[in-house]
Amino acid sequence: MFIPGLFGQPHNLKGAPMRLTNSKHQLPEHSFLERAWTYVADRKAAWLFVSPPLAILLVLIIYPTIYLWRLALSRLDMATMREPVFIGLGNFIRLFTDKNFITSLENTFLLSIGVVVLEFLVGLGLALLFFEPLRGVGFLKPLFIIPLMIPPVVVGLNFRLILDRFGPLNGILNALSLPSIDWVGTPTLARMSVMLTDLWQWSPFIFLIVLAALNAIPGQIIDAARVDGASGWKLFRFIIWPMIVPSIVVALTFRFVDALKLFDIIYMLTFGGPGDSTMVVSLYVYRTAFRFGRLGYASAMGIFLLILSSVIVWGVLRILRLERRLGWE
Amino acid sequence: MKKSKITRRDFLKGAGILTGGAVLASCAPKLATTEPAAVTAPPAAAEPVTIRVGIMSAHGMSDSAEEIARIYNEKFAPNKAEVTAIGFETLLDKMLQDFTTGANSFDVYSVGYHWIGTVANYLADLDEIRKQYPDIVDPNYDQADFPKILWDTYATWQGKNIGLPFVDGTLTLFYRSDLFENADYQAQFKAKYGYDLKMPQDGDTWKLTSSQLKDYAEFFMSGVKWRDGEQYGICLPAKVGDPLLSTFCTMFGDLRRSPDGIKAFGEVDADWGDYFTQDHKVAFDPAISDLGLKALNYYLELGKFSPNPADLDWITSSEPFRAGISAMFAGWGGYWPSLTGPDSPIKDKVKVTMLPMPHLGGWNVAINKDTKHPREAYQYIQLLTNKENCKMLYEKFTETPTRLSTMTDENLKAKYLDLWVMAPSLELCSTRPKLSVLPQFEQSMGNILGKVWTGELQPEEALRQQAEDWTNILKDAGIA
Amino acid sequence: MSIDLLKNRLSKLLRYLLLIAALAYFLFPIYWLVLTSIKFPGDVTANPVIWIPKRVTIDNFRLLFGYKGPVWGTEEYTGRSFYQSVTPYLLNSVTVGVVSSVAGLLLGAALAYGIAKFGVGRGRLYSWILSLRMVHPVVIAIPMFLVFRAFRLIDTWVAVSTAHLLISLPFAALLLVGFFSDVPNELIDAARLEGSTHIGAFFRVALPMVAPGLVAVLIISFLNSWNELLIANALTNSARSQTFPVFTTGFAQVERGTAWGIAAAGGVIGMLPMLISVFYIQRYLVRGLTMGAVIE
Repeated sequence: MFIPGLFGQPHNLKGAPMRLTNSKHQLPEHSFLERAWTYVADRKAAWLFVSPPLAILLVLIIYPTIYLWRLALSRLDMATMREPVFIGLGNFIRLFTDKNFITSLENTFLLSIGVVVLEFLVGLGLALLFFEPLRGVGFLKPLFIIPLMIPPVVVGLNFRLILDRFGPLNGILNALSLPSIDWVGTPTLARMSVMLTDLWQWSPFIFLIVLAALNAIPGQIIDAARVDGASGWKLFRFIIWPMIVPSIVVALTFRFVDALKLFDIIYMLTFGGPGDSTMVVSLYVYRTAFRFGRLGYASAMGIFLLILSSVIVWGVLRILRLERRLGWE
Repeated sequence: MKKSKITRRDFLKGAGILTGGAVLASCAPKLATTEPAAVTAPPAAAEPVTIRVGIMSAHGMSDSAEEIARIYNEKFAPNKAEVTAIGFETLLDKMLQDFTTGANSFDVYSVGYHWIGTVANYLADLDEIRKQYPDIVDPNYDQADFPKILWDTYATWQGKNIGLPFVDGTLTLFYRSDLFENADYQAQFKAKYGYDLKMPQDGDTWKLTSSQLKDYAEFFMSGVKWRDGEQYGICLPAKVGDPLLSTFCTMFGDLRRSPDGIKAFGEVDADWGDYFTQDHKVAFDPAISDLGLKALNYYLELGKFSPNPADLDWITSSEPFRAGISAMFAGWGGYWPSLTGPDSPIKDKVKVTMLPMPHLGGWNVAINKDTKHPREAYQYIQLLTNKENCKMLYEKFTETPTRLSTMTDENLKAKYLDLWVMAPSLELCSTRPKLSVLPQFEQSMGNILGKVWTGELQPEEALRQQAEDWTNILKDAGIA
Repeated sequence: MSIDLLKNRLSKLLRYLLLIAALAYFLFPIYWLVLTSIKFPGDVTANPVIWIPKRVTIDNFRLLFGYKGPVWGTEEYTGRSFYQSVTPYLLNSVTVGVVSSVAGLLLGAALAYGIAKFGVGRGRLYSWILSLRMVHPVVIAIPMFLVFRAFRLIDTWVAVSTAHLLISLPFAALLLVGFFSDVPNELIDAARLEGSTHIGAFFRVALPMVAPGLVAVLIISFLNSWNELLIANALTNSARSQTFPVFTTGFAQVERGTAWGIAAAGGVIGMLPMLISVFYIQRYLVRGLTMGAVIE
């Protein structure tokens, strides 16, 4: 598995930047993108293709961003005001002393990291199970990836039914003569339930990526290692693991960034949980904007999230670029 | 390194776009806002009109609305009424969104009375409509048939009539008649506590006190074994949000409206409710009086006899009672049908009585200020809430009535064992604040007071913080 | 030798067992959802739990589609309206999904071709588009709400489609860049030699070659729009334009027993698009979920 050249100028193997010409055979081979940039000189045609989509994209992004900034610097309480009132940085000042906001950030990170760790373990384990082919498992693979594209709301609803006081999970406990547990009753349990639900939906993601990575390991390496006497744990630790680490890092990075957006499941399962134990930042901003109607304050939160996302993106891109180097050279 | 420089440049570029946007934004022309359309007279004899009605989807409410829509379609053809049932969780959000964006998705809404402060600016003034279309006013409507407290609470805001009372809801005490009328248990109870085990019935002049309620709950939790497996004394909802705010209001209201309470806090303001003193201060603040702490401690103690209250909302708190593992249940009167319906495991064993201090819930129907059909909309809500239909809807869907004529009808009382409790409950009950910041109050209470159940906060400290937070919210919103 | 054989057999057995356990874990919730959707209301919250029902009904689905007659074998619930029909919501979801995925595909394909073949943006454009994925939907929802509010487009399918286009366009572009790069340039050169323009070559040579990719992108884009909740919830008020996930949130606080069967039926319907297309898109799923950054 390879990760296409993501960014930066094309460069030859010595690291010097290369200028693109109109003929293919002068381009280096190790980045698919760079290899294919053939018609670089046909500027007019290029812009013909690219300008309509880019124009629409930019309008869709820039125009709302202006509004967002405008409102972040104003106050607009939908219940009582019809027009926004400019208040400068007031919203941002309040943001930094808002305990609830900080709590929601903590919850978001806590849940995201927890979820990623769990999904990593389960996905890895599952991929290893599939690794050396057992008879008849090929057709099982699609079954495992069904959870991935089910609407997260439906997953949330589903687990609401399952984790209910009178639901099947407690039914199993009761059958074993254990008392029923209130799965969303206490902060800890509620968080666990949220993680369990997300785990169900997204472990297959890690599973798929790790499985592909495992299958990409050249068979000879494994056979050679076996001949040398390595097997089981040793085989895994010294041969397999180093070769799949890059893919794992990529998978976990993507998963982490997505986990930060956790919304649908919590909306259906706990809506912030007992107290505010599962109140994540997306839910908090959403509620401030649409239930309390405090659009100015919510916009300021949105700006803050935007900046935070940029920082995270920057970090992510660094990691991905790092991985590219680790994975190939 | 070259690569990281590029990335940093990318990042700076992104930041630059953001700040550029900010600068642009501050110079940009005024944000477009939406102006509400004035209530104008529509052209006479226009094409058929369809009124869109958004009703809360809960036991009987949406069914009632649909039944009336059917009648409306016949009576006012070719005009039609179209009912959409909206879930409770999203109703307020959607209403607010509809109003503030001028989307005009619905002409008529069912509004919970405690939300009135939040949406009052967007509700049509019914007096104006009546003045503009005198011909549609029903002479037999009989406004006096509504108990005064319901008209004041559901239908008015700052002196204006903004809705018609639709569904009454009072927190009621449901109990297992088979347990309370069991002679053996009665004897055991008398031996333990020294007084009779019984509940007020129709026509009794005495009321259940809170200490009696606690004794009953304790007795059926651990005093006598009345079933195999787990058993509880009472089901008490205390989930973050509406349930917590309302149920605590019941407990606190009991003390708030006692002679001590009136002395300490003054009279209860109709718009501010039981949580506030006469001069709009938070009444349960320990700094003002210790009655708040007393109420909270009582609530906590009573909660010990219930399945985890912090997780139970209105409906989930009825489940253990319905499944037969709890002796009592404090919930809305409207749950009677589900508890006594053919599917219910306890169907013939349920009776109701008044809580020590009932609490008022309830809904009105109101008209969207932006509506293009105020005339037809008023016809609908008038039809929905008139005298005959109130009785009819009660019989057909057990939709808790808002009219005295229905509540005190002897024939109906004989048929439906839960009806007698409604009128007496309205004579003295606690109310929530009708203010515009109520959603924030609910969330705040969930965050702070909710922590008392998980043990993260001590009761007194929680009350102090709660009072402070509420005061800040009020100050923030500019409400005295 | 026989000990090794035994160890081998044991480990195989263990792996089979673990696989079955994993399969049970991942498939049980789906089984439970389908099961609940065909149960009678009384059985849904029965105590003890009913694993294999003795009686089933399709009335939950009938109610979901607006049926008003007697259900569940009793007259008690005749004429009751637990929730409005799901049909308008399904139609809205289909409309929004199709519009946003098709528009996103067309625009995204053009953009992808420009990046892949013409090197527009020199890779930095690619990474900028990739970074769009990291943005929180809430941050998109609020300004979108404001803009559409000013244009009085709240609660219309136009608003939701446009918002979803903001997601499907970059998505299509990123995915298709990989596909287009694999189109051999000789073919394009050959077409141009015959006198066609770049645009002509695009339509006649490149697009047909990436057809499987186009279909995959279309399907996954549609699924993304079908599943999306936050933005759709923020921009809509009523059945006029609300999509299916928003309908599902109406079940967040319901009368158990009666309405949970219907909620489960709704959930089953929500799963259908994925169940239908899983076999086709499983090849492209990883690429789709990482927006083209990872190709397996």
